[in-house]
Amino acid sequence: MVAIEFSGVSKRYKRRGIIRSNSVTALRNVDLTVEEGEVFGFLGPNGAGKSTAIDIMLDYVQPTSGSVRVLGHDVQTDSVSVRERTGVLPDGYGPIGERTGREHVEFAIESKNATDDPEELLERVNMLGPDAYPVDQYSKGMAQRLMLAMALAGEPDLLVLDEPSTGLDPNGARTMRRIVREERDRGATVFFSSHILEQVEAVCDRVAILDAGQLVTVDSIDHLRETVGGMARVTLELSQVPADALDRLSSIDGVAELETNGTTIEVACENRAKAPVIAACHDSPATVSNVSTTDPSLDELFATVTEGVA
Amino acid sequence: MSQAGLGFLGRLLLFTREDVQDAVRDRQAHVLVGMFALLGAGLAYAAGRTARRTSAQVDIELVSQLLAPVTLLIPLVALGVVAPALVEKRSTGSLTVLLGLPFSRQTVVLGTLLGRSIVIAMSALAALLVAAPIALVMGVSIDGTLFAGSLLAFFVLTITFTAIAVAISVVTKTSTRASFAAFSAYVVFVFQLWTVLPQILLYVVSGFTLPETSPPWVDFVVALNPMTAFTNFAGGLVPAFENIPFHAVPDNPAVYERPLFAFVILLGWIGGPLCFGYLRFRKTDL
Repeated sequence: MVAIEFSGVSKRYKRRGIIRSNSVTALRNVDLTVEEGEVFGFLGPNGAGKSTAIDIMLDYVQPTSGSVRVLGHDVQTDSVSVRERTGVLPDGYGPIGERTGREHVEFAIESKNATDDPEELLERVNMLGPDAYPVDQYSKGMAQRLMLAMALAGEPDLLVLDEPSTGLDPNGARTMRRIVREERDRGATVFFSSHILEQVEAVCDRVAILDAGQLVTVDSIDHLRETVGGMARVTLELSQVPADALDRLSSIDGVAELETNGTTIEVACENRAKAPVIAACHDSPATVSNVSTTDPSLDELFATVTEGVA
Repeated sequence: MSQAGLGFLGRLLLFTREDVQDAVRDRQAHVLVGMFALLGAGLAYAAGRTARRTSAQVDIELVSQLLAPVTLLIPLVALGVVAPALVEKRSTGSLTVLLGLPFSRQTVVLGTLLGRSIVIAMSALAALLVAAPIALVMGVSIDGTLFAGSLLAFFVLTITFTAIAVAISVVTKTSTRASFAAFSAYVVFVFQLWTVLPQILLYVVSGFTLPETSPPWVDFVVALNPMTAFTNFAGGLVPAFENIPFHAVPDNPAVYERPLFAFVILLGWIGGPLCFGYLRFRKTDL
C-alpha cells in the first residue's frame, strides 16, 4: 500500500505588487511515492522546499498544480480524514492559548478520539515534570518534545515530522530516533525532513534529496552509499612529506586520489587500500604524527548532488 | 488501533469548548464579564438613585436603562476582542498545531464564532444578572418580558458582530490591519457612517448633484446596516429598543424596515461574512 503520493506537485509563492509582482518557485513538478511501513527521510539544504512539500501534504498550503494523496485520501478535499490518522510535528508551531504541556497532549488525544494515557505519552518523550507548566514558557527543545508527544496521540498510521531534531540536545535526538524506530516497528509509516544527514542515515530506509524545489534522488541508504563509490579517505600528518612518497602511494592498488600540502597527505582510496597506504608512510623516513580515516559518507553525496559538482 | 473519528459535530463542539476554555485561561472571559458586570451595576445604581429622588411619581424600569449602553458595548467588544483572535493564532503558530489535529478550517471558523459568541453573550448576561438584585434593592422595577426579550436581542447582536469580526480575522494578515478593520467597522456600522455611503453613491450617479428627493433605494441601503437592522428587529420585539442612539426606528416602517425583514438582514450579516471569510481562508496558505 502507498502511504504518500505526490503527483506533479508544483508551488509558486506569489507576491502581488502595484508596480510589479514577483514569484518564487518552491517546488517544481515533484513526483514521490512513500510505501506504508517505511521510514522515509526527506533531505535537502535550507530553502530546498522541504517544508513547502510537507505543508502541502498537511493542507497548510495549496499547491499551484498537482495533487497529493495521503493514506488514500486527497489532502485538499479530505484533509480531516488524513489528519485523523496522521501525527504531525510541524515547522513553525506555537502554543494553543495558555495551556500547560499536559493540556496540549490531552487536547490532541481528545481531538483524535483516542484513549491514550497522557502520562504515558509524556513519559515517552521525557516530559513528565515540565508538563505542568504553560507551554509558552518552554524552551525550543522542550516544545519540540511536547509536539512529538502530541503527534504520537492516537497511534497514527503516519508520522510527519518536519525537522524533528531542531533544538534537541543529544539525549533528545536519541530519544527521537528511538521513538521513530518504535513507531516503525508498530507498523507506522514515518516521513521526516532534515538537513542533518546523521539523523537520516541512522533511521531511514529510503531517502529523497530535494534541491532548489526539484527531486534529485530517491534511493535507499545502502544503495546511495554504493553510488558514492565506497571511497574512504585517509589523512596522514607527517614531519615532512618525502619526495618519493606520492609516487609510492599512487602505485598502491586501489588508491584513487592524492593531495598534499607539505606536511599532510590526503588519500582517497578503496577500503582495502587503507592499511597499505598507512604502512607505506610508516616505512618512509618521515615520522607519522597522526592518522585519521573516514568512511565513505553521505555528506559527500549530499554536497555532490545538491551543488551539482560531480 | 485505529479509532473512529469524532464526526463533524463532535469536532465542532470540542473546538468550541476549547476556545471558551482558552478565553477563561488567558483571563479574557474574566475581563469581559467584569466589564459588563460593572456597567450593569453602575447603571442599576444610577437608576436606583433616580428612582429614590423622583420617589413614586415616575416608575423607573431597569432594563430600558441598560439597553442603549449594552447595545453599544457589544459590537465594540465583539469587534475589538474577536477580530485579532485568529490573526494572532496564525502568527503565533497555534493555528498550525490546530490544523495539524483533525480540525477542518470550517471547524476553526465556526468554532471561533460559537466560542467567542458564548463568552460575549455570557458577559452581556452578567450585566443583567448583576443589575437585577441592585435594582430590586433600590426600588427600581424590572419588566420580565423586557428582560427576556432584550436578552434574546443581545444574543442576536453578539452573534452578528462576532461573525463580522471572525471574517475580519480570517481575511487580514496582521493584527494591526485586523484592529484597524475592526475599528472602521465599528465607526461605519455603529456611528452610522453607513448612511453617508448611499448619499455619496447618489451624488455620483446623479451627475455630482444631490437630487431634492432621495430615490427609495437609498433608504433601503441605509436599512441594510447591521445596527439599523438590529434596532428595527429588536424594536419590533421590545419597543424600548427604539431609543438607541444613532438608530431611530421609523414611525412608518417600509417592508425592509419591519422586524422580520430586519432579522433576515441580520442573518445575511452572519452568513455573508462567514461564507466570504471561509472561502478566502480555505485557499489561504498558513
